[in-house]
Amino acid sequence: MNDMLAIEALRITIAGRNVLRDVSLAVPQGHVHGLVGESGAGKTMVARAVLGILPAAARVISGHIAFDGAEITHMSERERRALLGRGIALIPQDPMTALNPAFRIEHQIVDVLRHHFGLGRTAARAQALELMHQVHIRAPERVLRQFPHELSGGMRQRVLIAIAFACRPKLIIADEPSTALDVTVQRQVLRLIKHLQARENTAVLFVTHNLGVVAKICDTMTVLHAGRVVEEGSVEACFERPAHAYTRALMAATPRYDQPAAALAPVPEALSRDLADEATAWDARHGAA
Amino acid sequence: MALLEVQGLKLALRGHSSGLRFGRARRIEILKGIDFTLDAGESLGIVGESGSGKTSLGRTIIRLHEPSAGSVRFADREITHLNASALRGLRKDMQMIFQDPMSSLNPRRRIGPILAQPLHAFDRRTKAETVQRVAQLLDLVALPRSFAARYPHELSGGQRQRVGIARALALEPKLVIADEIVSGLDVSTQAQILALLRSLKERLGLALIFISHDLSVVRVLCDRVLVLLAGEVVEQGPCEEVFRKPRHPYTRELLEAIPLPDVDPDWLDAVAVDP
Ligand SMILES: Nc1ncnc2c1ncn2[C@@H]1O[C@H](COP(=O)(O)OP(=O)(O)OP(=O)(O)O)[C@@H](O)[C@H]1O
Ligand SMILES: Nc1ncnc2c1ncn2[C@@H]1O[C@H](COP(=O)(O)OP(=O)(O)OP(=O)(O)O)[C@@H](O)[C@H]1O
Ligand SMILES: [Mg+2]
Ligand SMILES: [Mg+2]
Repeated sequence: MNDMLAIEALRITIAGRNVLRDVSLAVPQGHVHGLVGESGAGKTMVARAVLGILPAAARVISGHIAFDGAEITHMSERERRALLGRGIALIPQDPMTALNPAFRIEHQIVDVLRHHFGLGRTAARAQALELMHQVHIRAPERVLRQFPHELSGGMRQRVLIAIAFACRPKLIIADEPSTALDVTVQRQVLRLIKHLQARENTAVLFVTHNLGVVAKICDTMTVLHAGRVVEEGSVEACFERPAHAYTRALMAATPRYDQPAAALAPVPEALSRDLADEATAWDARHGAA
Repeated sequence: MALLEVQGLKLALRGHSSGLRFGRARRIEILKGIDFTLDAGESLGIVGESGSGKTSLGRTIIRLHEPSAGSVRFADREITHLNASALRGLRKDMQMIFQDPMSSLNPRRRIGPILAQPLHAFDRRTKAETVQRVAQLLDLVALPRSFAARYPHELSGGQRQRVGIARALALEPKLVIADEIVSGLDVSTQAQILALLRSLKERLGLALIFISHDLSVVRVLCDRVLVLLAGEVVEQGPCEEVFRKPRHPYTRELLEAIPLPDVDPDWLDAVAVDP
């Protein structure tokens, strides 16, 4: 099975501070890979490195990113842009800021289709309608004529999923795609991503801090802490036989409605300290940038 | 004895501007007769999907909205139609904490003055007493006292949420209404805030109304839960009972929508792809 995305020992600094410390992970074709970890762990930084949209102050110090077998670590801006959309697409976290508030939904989808496939206006419009059907939007003609603020959060996220899948990408990066939604809508959106992903055999890198979501949608996963991989493996293995204390702590810190309140335990401070020490030790071994 | 008694509470608001093109703005009934009581020191979770009226209910209780019918009694006093000056006194006993701490904390003020502000509004204290109280409040939410000198943007999301909680506690309220205050936080920060609220509730004997769409979070913190659907209560009872044996189909739907951290490949297939 070939890896659609392979990241090897990626090290990234921002203003001389290590934010990714030799991160390696692989997403095989047709698989959904979860990237989990607490806020600031570096999840979005991994996603941005793959998409080639790192913050200006960030530096790739070492390591490799390969997409569909080809190295893309140091692509030119033009090559990268050609890849985005056709090869790699993004489902962003915040559906409101990802859509342009000034344009109708139709305009935004038709734009993408014309840009990537060189479709004429009429063909693109027909295709847009078809996409709205695929993400199961009722009354698609009406939705196409609406502005982003006239849609609910769940509808906006469906539109963005449609846009992401529109160009039949081989890899989709989903950065917290359901975090802003309420639980019922979240479930529908996850279902939709899974459905389209399985049909198109798309590889998905699924970024989230919600272990419940990972358990339901991912095949494999990586746990990140302070820019270091602390655990990786199949979802079954990580959930049923977690090897690292931090993975176990994250699970114990996840509330569940089917267990008494007392079962919840925040990540122990001693563990957080140990992990911080390990990151400092890593920095000492590898030197600051 | 009940600290808070809500009876037949209704709220009607003018429709959003997008409805204007159909003539005059109509008043939309957002809360359709809510009944519940809350004892001192008790905690109640309010759950329901987006738009069900959770925030509106919180805001109506503390009178940020004027109810259109029904009554709210607090500490044996009818507060449904208090005028503005009487309401000011009430704010001391009832506090609401909102989801986004960044937008409710003044970005140009340091944490110290932010925490001191409610103190000045209600009673005269010497400068030393105020400084002392701010330090106590920071201790209470387990933040270093040095944070008094920081600005909101110099704090993490979880730390800002702690400041929001500290500010709400400044005047030793009897009731705190917390609206989705852990929704945007990662699991570890969320667990810390939940543990903090749990211990504050016990130590200070606080009554808590905890608004959330995540029933797992409610389970951690609340004695009872009230399920809201389109402005109506469809079910309420002790968490223990409601979560083990939900009676209303909508409650079951909400529970089933929560992804528990157990591997289950069939979970997603159990819903239709259509909304
Ligand atoms: N534009 C930036 N400039 C400087 N530092 C940054 C920038 N963006 C992120 N960082 C830092 O890089 C680290 C990793 O951040 P990242 O956004 O990848 O975290 P994350 O795991 O996505 O967290 P969250 O769950 O909060 O989204 C953090 O220490 C963060 O403070
Ligand atoms: N100021 C307002 N004017 C008119 N309608 C409003 C106003 N505020 C809220 N509404 C409407 O009242 C209903 C309930 O909104 P409310 O914000 O209370 O829901 P909620 O349960 O808190 O949802 P969420 O989980 O998204 O926060 C919604 O239909 C909303 O559009
Ligand atoms: Mg992120
Ligand atoms: Mg709300």
